Amino acid sequence: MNSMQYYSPNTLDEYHKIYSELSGKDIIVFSGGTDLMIGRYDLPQDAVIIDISRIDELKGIEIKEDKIFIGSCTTLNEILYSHKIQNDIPILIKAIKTMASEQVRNRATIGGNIGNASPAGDTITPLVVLEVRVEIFSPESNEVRTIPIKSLFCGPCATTLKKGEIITKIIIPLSKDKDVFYYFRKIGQRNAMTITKASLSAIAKYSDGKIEWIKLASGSVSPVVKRISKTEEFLKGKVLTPAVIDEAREMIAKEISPITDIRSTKAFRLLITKNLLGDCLYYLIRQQNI
Amino acid sequence: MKEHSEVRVDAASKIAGIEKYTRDLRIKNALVAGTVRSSKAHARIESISYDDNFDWSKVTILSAKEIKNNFVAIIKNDMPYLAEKEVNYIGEPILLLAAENETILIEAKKHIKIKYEELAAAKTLKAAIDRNRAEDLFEEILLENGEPEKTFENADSIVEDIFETGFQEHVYLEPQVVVAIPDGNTIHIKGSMQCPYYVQNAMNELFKGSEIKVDVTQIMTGGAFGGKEDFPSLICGHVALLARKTGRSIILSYNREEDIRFTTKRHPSRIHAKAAVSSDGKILGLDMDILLDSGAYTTLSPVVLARAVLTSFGCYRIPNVRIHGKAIKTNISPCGAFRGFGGPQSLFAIEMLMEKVAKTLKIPVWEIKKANMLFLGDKLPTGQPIDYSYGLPQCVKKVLKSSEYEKKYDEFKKYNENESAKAGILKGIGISLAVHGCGFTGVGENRIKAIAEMELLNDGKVLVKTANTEMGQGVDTAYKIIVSEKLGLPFKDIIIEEKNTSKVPNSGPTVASRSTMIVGKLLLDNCEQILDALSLNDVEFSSQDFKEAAIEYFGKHDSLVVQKEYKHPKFIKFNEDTYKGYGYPVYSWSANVAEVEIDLTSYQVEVKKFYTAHDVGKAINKQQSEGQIQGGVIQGIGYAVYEALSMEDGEVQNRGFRDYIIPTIQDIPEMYVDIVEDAYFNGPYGAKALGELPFVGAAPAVASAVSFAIGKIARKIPLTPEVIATLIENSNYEY
Repeated sequence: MNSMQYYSPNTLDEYHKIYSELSGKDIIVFSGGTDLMIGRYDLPQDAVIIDISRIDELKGIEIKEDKIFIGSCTTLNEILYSHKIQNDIPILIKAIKTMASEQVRNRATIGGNIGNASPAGDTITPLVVLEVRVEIFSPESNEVRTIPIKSLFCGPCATTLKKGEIITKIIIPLSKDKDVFYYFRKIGQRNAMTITKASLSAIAKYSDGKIEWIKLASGSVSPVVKRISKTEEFLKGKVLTPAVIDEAREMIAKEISPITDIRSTKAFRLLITKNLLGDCLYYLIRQQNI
Repeated sequence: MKEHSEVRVDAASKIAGIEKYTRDLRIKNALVAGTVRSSKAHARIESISYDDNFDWSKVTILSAKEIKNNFVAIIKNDMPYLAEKEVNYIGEPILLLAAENETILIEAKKHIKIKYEELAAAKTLKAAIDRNRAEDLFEEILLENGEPEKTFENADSIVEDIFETGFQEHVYLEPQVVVAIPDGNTIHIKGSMQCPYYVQNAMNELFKGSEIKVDVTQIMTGGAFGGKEDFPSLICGHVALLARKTGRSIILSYNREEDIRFTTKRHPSRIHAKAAVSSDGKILGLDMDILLDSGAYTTLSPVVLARAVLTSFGCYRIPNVRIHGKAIKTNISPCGAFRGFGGPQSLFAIEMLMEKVAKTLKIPVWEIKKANMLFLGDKLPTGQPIDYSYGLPQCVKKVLKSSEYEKKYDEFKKYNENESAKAGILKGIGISLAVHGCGFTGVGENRIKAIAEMELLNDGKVLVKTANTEMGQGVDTAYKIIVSEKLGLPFKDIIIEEKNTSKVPNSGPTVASRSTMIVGKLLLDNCEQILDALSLNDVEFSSQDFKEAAIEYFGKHDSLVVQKEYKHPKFIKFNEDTYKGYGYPVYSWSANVAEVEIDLTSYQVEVKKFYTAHDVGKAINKQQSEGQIQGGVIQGIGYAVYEALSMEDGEVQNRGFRDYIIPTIQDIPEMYVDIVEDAYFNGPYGAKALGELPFVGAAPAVASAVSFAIGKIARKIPLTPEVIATLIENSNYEY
């Protein structure tokens, strides 16, 4: 019979215990499983899988001082319907709204989406421009550490997490700036249940007709989601004229390295990423003129 | 007949989740089966070896050597159940395995090594055309009428282009699954299928000369769309062979990945179409070369090609034609039946050729279509007069009104000139006229000689016996309506017999939109036979009268079983050599208008509104007819815009719903459906074909709207964003 082993700890302590008892074995940790289950036929027959999504202490949203803490096993729908997130982090709401379906969002978790480390992970680009930190628990040392999200990824679907380490919290700094502009748009293959071909997250501060600062991150167009720093630097302090926007479009194309796969082509991803930046900047202009 | 909008008889059990599908059957002591497949597109099998690091006593292995009649009986009988010496496509079955569970199968497969000697393969239609070998031609059809050559010589202008359509996967919700249960010398086959008698026939051929007898039962089928027409014969053979070898029951169920990679698809097409046109936009001649990519074996390709040829002139009066069709072998998974069956490919070509004519002559496309549309009494290029049940003019009237096509045509033109750039959106509106020949092509129906049977039971109920299967299209409910209307019985007194070949006669396959029109008519005749026996014909009677007459009948007789065999009316004749005569006994028609928006950031085509009017003779179940029209339109939108099967190096790359994109509820347009009922004299209450027609007209309407929006002819589908970007930006974003 099938010899796959499944564990579902209810507390971090239990996770720690299970981990210790499995000493040495290869394990797959997941939270939600909405991606893992699609590939279940490819799992080894003797895989050991640990579902952490029932660990209560890893759920929920809290504001403390100037930060929002989201438990890694908080579902996408719990975030979507959270007034705190709706009020303070609207870019995350916009991203989550484009993800999967109601049913999948009821199971999928934010920690799962990040830990999966897909370049097409739709919560990742907003979290990268928000410069969030990620809290990590290590069962080896029984300690937690926090790192900036950009240091979490080291390749497509690969993270810097060490063996047994799990993401426990996402820590979002609340901006002191008022009237910060935000933009998220994803281009998929249809309007729901779709994996991103290319996406763009942006937050920016616009004053006196100029861009004071802008933070950009593109999804699905490079091995890991990262900031588009040269284009950010270029736009800083600029007045958004059509010529500036055209130049920025060309710059972003040079900063990304998309590939051709079953969902789209390299050439098309370059084109729509340029379009997304243009769409973002023209939208910014329209917002300021209202 | 009064209007019926009945809730489907299978609705409650399906919604409650208690309907039993094949995988819900509890089969005792069954083994599971698996398939070892070719990893080469064309190769000689040099050797098969089983390594020693596996306990082979846990697995039963079956190879081609053990099969006496190793061909699946469909048309040309060229496809083996298992490849013996040569493989012709990636995924072709080579060995069958049976074991106690799936895990053993997965492990066993790792310990089998097949050595091949690779042979030259044509992995694309283009490669097959280029190598131009006579043996790659599964079928060739030539239909000529009038004086095509002279017409093209003398034409004011000639408009031509090459039109292409892609693969399409059926994406029925329930993947392929069949079981075989041995019982002495009999093997009972059960499964998800459209045509139990196709399977029966294939099993009779497979076990010819042996003592084995087979009967076949269709279990409630979760969608099919043609994908369970020809394909189940192959896998039913697989389970039957394993059941005979092991003496145990066998379950073979494909998961989604196996299903999408290795089962039949819609034939891709490449059609070179040419019109000889007068300066005022009259189409005087049509020349078409239709090529269908048929995959590695013949399956149903000759019949698919026949329908493509007979649909190629669309709804137009074109006196001079030369239509040349070829079904060509390639080294990919065989293509097979799919809703529309060749019609969608050639209808796309003729409709887009009309777009090109309009663009060339600078005349609005609807003017061109209107000027060339058939009149009642006109003859098709086959010589068949369209002189009855021609509801297309009414469909056109209705759809122009509901859509306000002509008004929006001008509005959208202005919008695209003035507002598109600012809004980042192009708007388009398109129109298509569509036709579907009802029932089998040509002499098919006379060959099948469908028989329906009805039995009066001694409690006054009737038992309806046909082989026509419920696969979600609502045939059981339609039959109950037809019988209930004639016999005055409530639904509960009409019992649909299990679709088991030992219990029901061969009323033909559930294909070609024929179940209501052909078999429904036979049931109506059965009803008359029963009423005759009860002396109730030509009198008014109540359901109580019927009951009493039945009781009286059984006072004198033991049973009442009536049968009726189908024959075309005498004047319906077809010549298979010249392709002249009645290609179909009657046609169903539709007029369609699509409104689209194209986003200039993402190049996505979104169909915003879809208007259609369908002439189906008579809608037996109104709400179900509307539902089927909506479903067919959505599938057609998928074909036009979303569904891109990726074939690389002869191998399907898609693995399931995450990368084979079909429209979701968030992608479908507002739909406006009108039904026109121009009765067919030989259909039940006037009904003719419905099932496939909604699909056929959708893609050309959408492609017409896209062509409007971008100002270029969309000459190939699917119109994915990559294709749209290529058209708009004049650069290649596809590869």
